[in-house]
Amino acid sequence: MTTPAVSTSGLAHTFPTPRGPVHALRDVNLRIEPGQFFGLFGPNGAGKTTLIRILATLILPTGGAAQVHGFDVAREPARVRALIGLVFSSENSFYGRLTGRQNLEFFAALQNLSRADARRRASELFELFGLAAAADAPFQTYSTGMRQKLNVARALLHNPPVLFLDEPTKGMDVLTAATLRTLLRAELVERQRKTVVLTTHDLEEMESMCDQVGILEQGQLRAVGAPADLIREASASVVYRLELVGGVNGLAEHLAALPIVESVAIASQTESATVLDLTFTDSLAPERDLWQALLAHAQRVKIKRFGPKDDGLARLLKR
Amino acid sequence: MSALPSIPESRLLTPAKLLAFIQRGFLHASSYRLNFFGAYVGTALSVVFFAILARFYGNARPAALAPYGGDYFTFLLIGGAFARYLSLGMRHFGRELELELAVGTIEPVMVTATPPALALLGPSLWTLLEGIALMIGQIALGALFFGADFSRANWPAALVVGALAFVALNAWGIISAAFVLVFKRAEPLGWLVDVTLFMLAGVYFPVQILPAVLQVFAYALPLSHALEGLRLALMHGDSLVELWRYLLILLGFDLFLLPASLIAFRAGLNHVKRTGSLGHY
Repeated sequence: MTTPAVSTSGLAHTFPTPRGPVHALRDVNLRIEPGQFFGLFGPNGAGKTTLIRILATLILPTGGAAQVHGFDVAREPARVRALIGLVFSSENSFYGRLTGRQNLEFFAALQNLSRADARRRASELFELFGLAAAADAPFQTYSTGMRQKLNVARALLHNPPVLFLDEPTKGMDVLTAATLRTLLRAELVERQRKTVVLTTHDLEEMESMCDQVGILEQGQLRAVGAPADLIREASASVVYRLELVGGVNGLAEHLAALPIVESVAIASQTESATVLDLTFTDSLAPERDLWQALLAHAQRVKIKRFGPKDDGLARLLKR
Repeated sequence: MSALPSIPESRLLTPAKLLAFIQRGFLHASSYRLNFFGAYVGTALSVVFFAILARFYGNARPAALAPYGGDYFTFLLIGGAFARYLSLGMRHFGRELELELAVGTIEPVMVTATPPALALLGPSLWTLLEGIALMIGQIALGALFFGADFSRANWPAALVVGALAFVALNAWGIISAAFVLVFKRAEPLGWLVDVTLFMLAGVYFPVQILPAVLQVFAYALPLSHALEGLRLALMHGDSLVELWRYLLILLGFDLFLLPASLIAFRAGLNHVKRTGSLGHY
């Protein structure tokens, strides 16, 4: 059995606050294999960043243990730091008046790279992330996307086998985020075989990038699995909402009689609108059958909206 | 496991890393050109100010200056140059740390292969070196162009007094940095500390002319003993043996403040790692 790249057992962290203790993590048990692209998925405040910071030795756990390639984050932080790179969610973690190159060379020296190696490595990374033209411009003139790319480049300076990314596409436009995602997946995992742990609350990011996902909510790990499996499981119990213009009598009974429909509930009904919540026997909504059933109904109906009642994130968290 | 990178403890603190911090500090400081050159011009002007102030006294030789040889300009120059540098030692760790917290660079530095103490105190290295350069510049300017009298100076004795004072005041500075780690601000009443310190420590006049009550407070400060010892070594040529009282007192401050600073710093670091507040400001 190989040593996992990242593992936690009973990991807990409680922040003392003036309003009493806040349990940011509770009994988190996790195992991430080397070479895996692992997503920590959950809403704001779920404990994702706290978990990443514990693994990066920035916060001490208050309970349980965490290891990176077998080294304990609390007892052997220097050994852990040699194995990891951390990409911060904040884009302002550089010296604004220094150039991108000066920033990278400074951090490279702190990672024990010689002056010559630091220069060579910085140039390689500027090329890789398409920042070569801006390498000698002050960091404060960089756009959000460029800053985040430099953030990733910094984490790769010492070529660590494990990379932690805390919401790396936060604040980026759609196109730049997509480019960075492709680069991260293709370069870091598929070519360099690094272990990547990414925090996100973006369903699309999770689906497109991760091999495995852990769903965190209120500090607890609710589920771990492949993104497609988790989404399929979540879809099995999807409640669809059908909103119609005007009061429609007898429609709930009409739809409940259909073999494709498992249940119908009237969410609200007034003279101006009718709102029904439906679950189907199949995990995917058989929309064509539903439209035919609506057309067959005695009263003419006008559809205002039809779709899942909750968004993807909420569905996954409710599973 | 053997293929994994690991860093021997001996490579955590290297001259290259110290140099990287110094270079980074220089690049950052010199990017504010007006401010950067202004510090040097201001330092030169302070020497001119001391010369004018001393000229105002003319040939008057106040009794309080007798133990130092009576030359008020040299007295002022030593007080101004060393007090500025030594008081810098008291607060530059905290101030630089405050800046790093505001910029958001502390956490990225802390996750590198750098010991936490260097990660948190390293940002001040340039300021310390620049302070030495400015202090030497002030002394040299005073001696070369304004007739400061160092003909009887015992430089080795002054160096020992300066080194002991440096340790004590930088240990104080580390306590101030620990304060910043926890409370995010170095000294809520920094300006008051400045005024009090410069008045009590005898920068512009001997401590002996202060009222007796204030002298008690003055001699509770390592800076007062450091300035007296330095003046006696540089103006009167006192040897280490003659300076034993000052050396003993400064050593006492060192022995108390240095362990206290290490305990405070460790406690501050543990606090931010437990509360997750390292990046807060």
